[in-house]
Amino acid sequence: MPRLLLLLPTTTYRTAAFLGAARKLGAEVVVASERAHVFQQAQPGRFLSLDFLHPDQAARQVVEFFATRRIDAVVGVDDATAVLAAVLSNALSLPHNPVRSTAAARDKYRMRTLLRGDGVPVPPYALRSFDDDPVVEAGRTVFPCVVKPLMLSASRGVIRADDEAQFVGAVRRLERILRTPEAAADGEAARQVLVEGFIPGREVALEGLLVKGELHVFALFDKPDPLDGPFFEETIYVTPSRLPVAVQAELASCTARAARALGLRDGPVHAELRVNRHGPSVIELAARSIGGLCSRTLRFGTGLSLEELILRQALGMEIPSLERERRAVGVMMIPIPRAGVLKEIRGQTEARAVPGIDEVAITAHPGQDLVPLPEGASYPGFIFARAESPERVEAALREAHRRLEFVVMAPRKPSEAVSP
Amino acid sequence: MGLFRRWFGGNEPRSGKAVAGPAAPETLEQQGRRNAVSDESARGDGEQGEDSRIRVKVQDLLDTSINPAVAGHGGVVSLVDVKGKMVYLQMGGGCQGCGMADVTLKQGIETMIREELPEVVDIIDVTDHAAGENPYSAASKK
Repeated sequence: MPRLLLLLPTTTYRTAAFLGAARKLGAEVVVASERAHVFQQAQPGRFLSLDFLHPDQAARQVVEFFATRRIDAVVGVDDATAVLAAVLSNALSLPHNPVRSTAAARDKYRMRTLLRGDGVPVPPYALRSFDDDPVVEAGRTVFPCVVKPLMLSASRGVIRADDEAQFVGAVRRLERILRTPEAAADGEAARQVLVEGFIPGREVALEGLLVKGELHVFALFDKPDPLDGPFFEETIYVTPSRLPVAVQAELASCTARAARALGLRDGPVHAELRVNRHGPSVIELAARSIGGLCSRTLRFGTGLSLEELILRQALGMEIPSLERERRAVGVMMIPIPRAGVLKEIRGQTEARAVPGIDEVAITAHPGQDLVPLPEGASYPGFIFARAESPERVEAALREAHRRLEFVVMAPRKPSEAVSP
Repeated sequence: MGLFRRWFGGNEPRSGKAVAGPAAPETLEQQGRRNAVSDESARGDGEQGEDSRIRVKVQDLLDTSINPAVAGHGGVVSLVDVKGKMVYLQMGGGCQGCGMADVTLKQGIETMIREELPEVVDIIDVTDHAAGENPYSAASKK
């Protein structure tokens, strides 16, 4: 029976998918999280608590843990654990992407520098510090621009500025976001800000798998809702893309070049690109698979999940098919309607009844604080659709969302705040 | 009388009087049906007995090992039913809606139950996790 160390942050959406995939493959799992599990003492061979923020310390712990136990692969499920997985694999002498490559993919500034150095198109960018005076920095910035944190994901902290006043406001707002304990844990990166040129055009997401340096594209997702700011809330992903075939090929080629430039050779990649009449630009290339519950849109061969493919590759097992099913699929990351405390979401039965809708998965719980972007870090839920065409998928997602009614109470006063 | 109706249907005496003398001889078909149903009842009784035994043992595990552990995170796990060696559990408190509920179930609870009861076919979580109002860990974006 193959044995797998799965790095699962306690806040990930991916737990069920990866554990389910491991079970289907007959793999035994050791779960490592940043906090001790309640059964860790009772079943010490199945759980580990690791300091995700200090990889060297985690590596020492893992080497000790597996000194008397067999291990075949280490798999991370998100940005932060992808880097840690490389560090731990290195310590355990297991195959892995170079640590510096996964670390570069996690850091927006290092990533852009490596990509630009290799001729991969990226937006013009500059690194600034919160120690700099934003008023002075605004004077030497070209507008429109986008202010970004170096390490947060899912558009958190990403703000467009069209003039100097907006720039100053955006930088100060991002600085406040990066003072939260979770973000501040990124250390020096949380004291810096990436300022990049706004690239007009369509945005797409590419999901793929690197096998010995070759990129296999699973899906190119269109994002039909405009992402022009001031915040960049992602909503609908639909594949196959409706872009011309030649443009799709160009986007895939650009992503493959970006992966090579970073030195990534194996494992999942999730890329975000913008495309306009000047061609594509890489916005992100992460050494992980698609986030949230979005992987539920992807099925391969005879019903394999994305997580099964990832685990098969990591465990050196045969991959029966890299072909995605032919039907059009899509997901809506349900937007946060407004800031406040969620009381309930009505109309779920009606939303599920829309033709083409596979699933309406509500992940927010009653009483949860709903925090919109750029500060927020979670979705109320996800809607999934399958149909004969991307147009029908998109229409089904919009109709299902229209049928949902959010009952949101006034935001808590700061003194009443609860941890998420 | 219910059993009589089931087996003999229209042959039940309409008068309501007790049937005097020996019953009419069974046909081969009737005999076969009766034997098959007897086997089924016996198997059903056996399964129910097995399910009852599993129920007692799972409840004991919940009381002595599982719930004392999950209580540390404000959680509680209840046994809903055992049917056909399938165990149905419900998670509450900090476990309901928790991002690590699957880990708790599959890595922890399931392992403990299977170690004691390898004959259990599956362990099903029937919790409405979306309704959990106080999950110990909530999922966030990526």
